[in-house]
Amino acid sequence: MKNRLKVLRAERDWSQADLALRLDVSRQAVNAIETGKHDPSLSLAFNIARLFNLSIEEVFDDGQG
Amino acid sequence: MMAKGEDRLEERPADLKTVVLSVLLGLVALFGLGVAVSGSFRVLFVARNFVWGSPGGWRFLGILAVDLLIVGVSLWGLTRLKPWKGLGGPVSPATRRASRLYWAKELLGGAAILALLFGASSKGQPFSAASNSPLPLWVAIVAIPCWLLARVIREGWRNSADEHERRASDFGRNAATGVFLAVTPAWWVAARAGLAPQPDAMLLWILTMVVSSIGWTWRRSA
Repeated sequence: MKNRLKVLRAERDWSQADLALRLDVSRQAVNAIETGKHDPSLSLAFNIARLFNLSIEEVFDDGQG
Repeated sequence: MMAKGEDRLEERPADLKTVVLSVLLGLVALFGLGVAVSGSFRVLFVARNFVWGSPGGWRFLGILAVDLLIVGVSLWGLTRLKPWKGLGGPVSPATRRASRLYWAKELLGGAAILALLFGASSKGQPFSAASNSPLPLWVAIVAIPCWLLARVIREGWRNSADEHERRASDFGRNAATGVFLAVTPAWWVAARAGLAPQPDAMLLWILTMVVSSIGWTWRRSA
């Protein structure tokens, strides 16, 4: 699944480890989500969207919309 | 080529080749260290008829030197590969908790393996801890609870790990289960048909452990 995580993170000058700390996950998890190798669970997707004050659709794109 | 600022924001994990090699080198180094420690323990504290300078003494020193050379090369390889690259930075409380449980499990597993190695040494087989030969009772008393507790802690680790880590761990376990389910009956049938020696539980365990570790580490860093 495509996402804007890397862009959103870079806009705030956060490293992957910084974002991982805010989401209470490992840095590897952030890297895997960013590169599309791991689709986050619904609860983690909500946490990510909430952290950036966006809706889930504004962060993630499943290519169906 | 990334700029310095971009480099800080973009921490690339190790690739598959690095992960596989690192797991194998790490296992070789750990096993080699265990063999060196248990072999030296036997020579220094257990063997009553050991004589330095005798053919047996030279043989021991030769094996020890080769073993330490293998350990050294493995550790040197690890420092070259740097599988820990990109692991720096702040760590979340949940990740730290999972990490503590993981290392507690590893410590207990290591204690069980050390007991096994020392036990094999005291029975006069310093370099055959993975054989099926008899062991002293104290090894079972120490190793079995350590091992079982390590398994329980492992489940605790799995429950406190984040979803990516959990999925990577499950991937490694599934791959290992698949290999075990394929290899065990094939080996058993081959042994009964006279094509292979009797199945060895320890070798099957080592094989599944290696597959599980590679699968998990690869998926984790992918």
